[in-house]
Amino acid sequence: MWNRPTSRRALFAAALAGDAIRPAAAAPDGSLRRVRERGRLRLGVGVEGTVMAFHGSASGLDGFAIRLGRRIAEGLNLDAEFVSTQRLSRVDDLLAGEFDLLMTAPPATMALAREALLTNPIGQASLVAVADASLPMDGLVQLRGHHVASLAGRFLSIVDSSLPPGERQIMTFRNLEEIATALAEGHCDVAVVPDYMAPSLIVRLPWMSLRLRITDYFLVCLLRFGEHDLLRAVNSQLFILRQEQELATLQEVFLGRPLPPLGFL
Amino acid sequence: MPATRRRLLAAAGAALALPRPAGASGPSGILRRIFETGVLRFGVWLGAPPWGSLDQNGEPDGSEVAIARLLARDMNVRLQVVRLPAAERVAALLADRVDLLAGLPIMPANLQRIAFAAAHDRIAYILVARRDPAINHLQDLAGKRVAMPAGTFAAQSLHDHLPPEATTIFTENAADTLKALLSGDADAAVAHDFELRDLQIAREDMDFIAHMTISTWRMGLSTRLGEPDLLRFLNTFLYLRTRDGSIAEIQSRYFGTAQNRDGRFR
Repeated sequence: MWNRPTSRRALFAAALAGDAIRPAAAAPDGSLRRVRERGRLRLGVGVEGTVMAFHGSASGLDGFAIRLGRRIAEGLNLDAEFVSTQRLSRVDDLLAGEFDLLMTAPPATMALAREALLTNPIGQASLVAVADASLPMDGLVQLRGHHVASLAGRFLSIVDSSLPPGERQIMTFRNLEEIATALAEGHCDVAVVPDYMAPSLIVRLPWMSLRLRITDYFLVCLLRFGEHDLLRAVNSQLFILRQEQELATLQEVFLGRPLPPLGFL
Repeated sequence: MPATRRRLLAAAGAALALPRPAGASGPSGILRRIFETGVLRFGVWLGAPPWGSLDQNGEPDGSEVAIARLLARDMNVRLQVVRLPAAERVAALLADRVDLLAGLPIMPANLQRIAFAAAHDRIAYILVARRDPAINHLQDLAGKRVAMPAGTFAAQSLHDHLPPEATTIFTENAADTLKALLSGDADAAVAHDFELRDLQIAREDMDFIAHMTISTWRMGLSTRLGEPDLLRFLNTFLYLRTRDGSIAEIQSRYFGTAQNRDGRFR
């Protein structure tokens, strides 16, 4: 029994997240009790057909966020229930109580931290520029004068803060399909997207390639303010998954890059 | 038709730049009040350069003030620096005169009263005196005059352990402590490790060394107990801003070196 990973994780997580380590002054906030009584952890995912979440051939949903969500729920001895959410409404859906944990959250920024609780990092991604191979694109300064396509919503926050000020026109779209269409029709000539989305774009537009790595950013999950018992439990699971190399494996398999030192306790 | 950048930025600004009105899903406690009032009240002792001081225009300055400015920007609120005497800092926080305190040593006595964010700095107090005679034990300070900045944790802890034959000279601040040593009014002084480094660079002719380390503590921002939303926000801030180099840039500017380059979530 003790050798079964799920039980060991559950016990360890319970010890990490439970009353034993809670400061005396902190009363339970009810968030962990709520999901335990329900028996299911409701996980918000935007299924956009990228490596984060996609419809697999036989086993239904798959992807980085799906596998990680299942492992977090399993570690808490809960069933995983995936709730579909849209890119533009995902944070609002979380705040409205549609689910407990947003798995496909916007990039970790301080703007996001003003809206909700960020878990410890679950991985790292990069903001990259995809453009026609013939365009000069040695540095950020060469984005000036171009019509840049990117994703709408909170993702825009990191795009706007990462690009140099000046003559650039950012056009935003709801999804990768719309970006591909805008590039194909010549409405814009550069796309700034997460690196894990770039291959899908290049498959659709083979004359384009990944030209520039702009900045790295952390991937996190998101919870509502006040839900610190659940946050502590999720972070405990992330700690275990990192210790057991599962986080690194998920990062390698789905995001195609090694997991950097994330530096969380 | 794709939306223009201006329209989208305006929409994004409505959603992001302004704190969300506090409601069922908004933050609670002090963080909620900071967002609602649009003001962060930051308590800091300005007699401890380079952490806290006044610049030539009389404006608050120092590494902790710079970090507070960055924090207020990330909160999207106005920073109100509240100048506090060293010995009144914790009392001011507990009396709700400030929302946060600048970096304090993370000591067991403090942990009982206030909640610390992840450590972002360290503080080491050393005993500085001329190379000869050697001071290997506190008993060696018998008959010596020892200068130390009043109200500091190091002064409190050292003063209690000095031999009765030693004379304590309490000074207004760290700079006056070293002045007492340099002028010969004191035989030994309690100083920060970086202050001795700076002194050795500036005055190669003087033969001052560190005879012993009095105390080393990690330092962190602090708030009142029972403020989990604010504490998580602070830890997120410290993690992301350490990882992107902002904290290291501030510390390099004030100390000549970064104190902590490895951001860690707590």
